[in-house]
Amino acid sequence: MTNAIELRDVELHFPRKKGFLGGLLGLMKVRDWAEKGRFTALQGIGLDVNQGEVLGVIGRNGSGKSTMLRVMAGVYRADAGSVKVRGRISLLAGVSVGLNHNLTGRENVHLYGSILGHTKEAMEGMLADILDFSELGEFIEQPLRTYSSGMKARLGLAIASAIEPEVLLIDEVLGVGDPQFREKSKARILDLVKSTGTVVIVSHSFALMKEICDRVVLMHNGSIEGVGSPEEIIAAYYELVG
Amino acid sequence: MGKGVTKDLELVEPNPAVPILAGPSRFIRTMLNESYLIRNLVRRDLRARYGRAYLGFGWIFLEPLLLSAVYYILFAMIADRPEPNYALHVIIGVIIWGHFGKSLQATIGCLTQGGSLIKQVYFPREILAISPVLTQLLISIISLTAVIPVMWYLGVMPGSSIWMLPVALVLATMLALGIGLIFAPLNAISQDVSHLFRFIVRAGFFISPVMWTYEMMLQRASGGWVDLIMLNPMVVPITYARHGLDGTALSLDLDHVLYSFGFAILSLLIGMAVFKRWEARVVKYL
Repeated sequence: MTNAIELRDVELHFPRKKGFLGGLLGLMKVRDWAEKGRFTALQGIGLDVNQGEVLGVIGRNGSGKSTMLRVMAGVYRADAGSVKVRGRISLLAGVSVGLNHNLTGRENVHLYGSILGHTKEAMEGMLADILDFSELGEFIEQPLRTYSSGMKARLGLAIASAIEPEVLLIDEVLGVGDPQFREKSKARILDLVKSTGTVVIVSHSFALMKEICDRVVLMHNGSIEGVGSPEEIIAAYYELVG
Repeated sequence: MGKGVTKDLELVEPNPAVPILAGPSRFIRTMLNESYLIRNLVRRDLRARYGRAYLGFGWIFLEPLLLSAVYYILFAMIADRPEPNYALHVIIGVIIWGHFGKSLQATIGCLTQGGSLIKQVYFPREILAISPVLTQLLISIISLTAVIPVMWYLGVMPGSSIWMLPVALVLATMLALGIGLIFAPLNAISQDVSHLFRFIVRAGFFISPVMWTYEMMLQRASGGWVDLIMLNPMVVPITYARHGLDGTALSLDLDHVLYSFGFAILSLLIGMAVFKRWEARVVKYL
């Protein structure tokens, strides 16, 4: 079985105090200083995500789920251990991350698309699909500040999900908007999951986990507590939280 | 794209550490490869600054003109007979110094300003430093057209030394980007750095030839004082821009010119290396 993502003994620390001198010494990896003012967000993470699999990640708030996704995406570089990914990776976290309220919808398609690493030609090719999903019509030529929050969410999700990366990381983007939009965005994500090679999804929706995931990971206090079938791991989660 | 098409791809680190000596080449490669993203960010920055003002891009001309008028009146009150082209020299000084100061502060604050985006998406973070500096360069080039009516009024024509103007802009840009990149990671740890540089830019206005000229300084200072003043690498680009536009002969010492260029090149190389080395580590402080 080929791995799409390979994590080996990954450790990640965040600075606890943000003082200048301590920060500078931490940056220069002066050991005592670096270890004093930090807290460990991820510890001993070893995980193989197989190609073509949909892997769910569950755990309580603050257990390190989103941080692990960001380490996979390259947002945070691990302090120890190794992180390797096969192919183009894309993190879908929040639906209006790269949007700007002074630009028109169309300009935002290009801005957000370029932030996600796409070319101009690719974004122009996706425009019809983005327009169709976001249902913006003529509003696409208006500045974003004239949009309702629902319209912004539709545009953001349309742009972020128009891509087809080899590895897709999804961090809780399904909880926004009205029920109709939530249904629509869920269907969109499911389409994306079907067409993308490998998916890692963080969600509190266990029904969704059971529906789409091949395996689920349980995280607790920055470590992996267990990996297994969705039913097995969800049961372990309830045991853990009591 | 169907499932299982990625078998030929290698397992690679998503954001590998960059050896310090490879920093400048990676930085330049990003600049060349990411022109689409840079263009989009420049458009965003321009729209954010001028898009909602009634006078819009007119402020690019108005700001240096109004500022220069204030400084000119102020100086004319202090020294009763300024040199004939003084108004022109002040406006050039204001634009070039403004370009340096704004580019420097934008570079220093690039990681803190881009914080929310940095934490959600991975993209080469040097883009965040490059795009505001290019935006500022574009604004400064447009604001330089504000000197045309002043030159026309004074009857000044640029000569063959006009090449010194673009060189001055490039030099000021390199200095701002270089110094800014060295301190941007430190500013992510503590924003004291950007407060300190706001003060430096304000104080630098007085110790740089904005309200005075290199030639005025030579009339008053000599020997060691001149060398001390010339330690400020911004004296050369501002003086270059002035002579480039008014067509008069340049009397700068070659040593001072070489010092300024050397300072710019060295700070840019160090800046690119330091930024690439540290940006991934300081993201955790944002």
